[in-house]
Amino acid sequence: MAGEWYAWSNNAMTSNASWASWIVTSNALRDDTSGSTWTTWIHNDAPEGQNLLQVLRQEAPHWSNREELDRMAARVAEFEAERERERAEWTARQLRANELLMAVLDESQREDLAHRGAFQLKVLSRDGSTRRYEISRGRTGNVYQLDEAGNRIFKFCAHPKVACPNEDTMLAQKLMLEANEEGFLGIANRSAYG
Amino acid sequence: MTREMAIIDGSGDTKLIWDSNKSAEVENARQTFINLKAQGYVAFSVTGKEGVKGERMSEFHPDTERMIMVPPMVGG
Repeated sequence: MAGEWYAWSNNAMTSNASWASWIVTSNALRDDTSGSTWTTWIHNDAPEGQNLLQVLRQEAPHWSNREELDRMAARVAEFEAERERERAEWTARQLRANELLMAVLDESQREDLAHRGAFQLKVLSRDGSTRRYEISRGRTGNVYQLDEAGNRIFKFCAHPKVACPNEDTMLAQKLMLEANEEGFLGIANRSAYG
Repeated sequence: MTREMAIIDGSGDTKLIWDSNKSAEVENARQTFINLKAQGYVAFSVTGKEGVKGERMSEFHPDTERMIMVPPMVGG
């Protein structure tokens, strides 16, 4: 479910019209296989706060069978309730992840994160040099190497395989850079910034 | 003494807490550590003051105040 919710929170691809058309012309809501596709739509593409039944009425005005509509309304209510539970669960996950991240940042890093959406760290590299990195809020492409003046010069992309709150991702990136810079750089895709 | 392992697993961190004076709890934490390492997790000790840099752990130490288990990472 976390993966579905993560995907939903990061994507909004398919239009209401095309899905409603599919609902009307297929066996959606009539069998388990189509039901799972319907579920995917609910999780991935349904606009937040929108009454899905209203959407379908607009998109499929000719669908006037009362029993079908009642059945569909029940399914919609069920899935919307599930979506609300998942939203609450995800919020709780974010709070836990944020608490853990805050526990390993110093005061300056916490302030930077609150005001700029990013924090910096210094890493003593194996070659004896000190490198500065910046981690911004996000999951992908959110790690930067800085030059001496603090300008971003390289962008790195590496994140946990599992879908997790951004705060957990940022924590993982910080720990890896500080204690295993070579390992992080070996995994990450690197590109010049700008 | 109470010790803590935070496991980043997509749930917003699963916390495992043990008393370093209780052998059964220590053994449970040790086994969890070993299992996670086998799955590719990397262990970090973040004992001490806030803001302290994490240290990579290759072995389980029951007296570590707080450890964080980071799941396998991939390039994006």
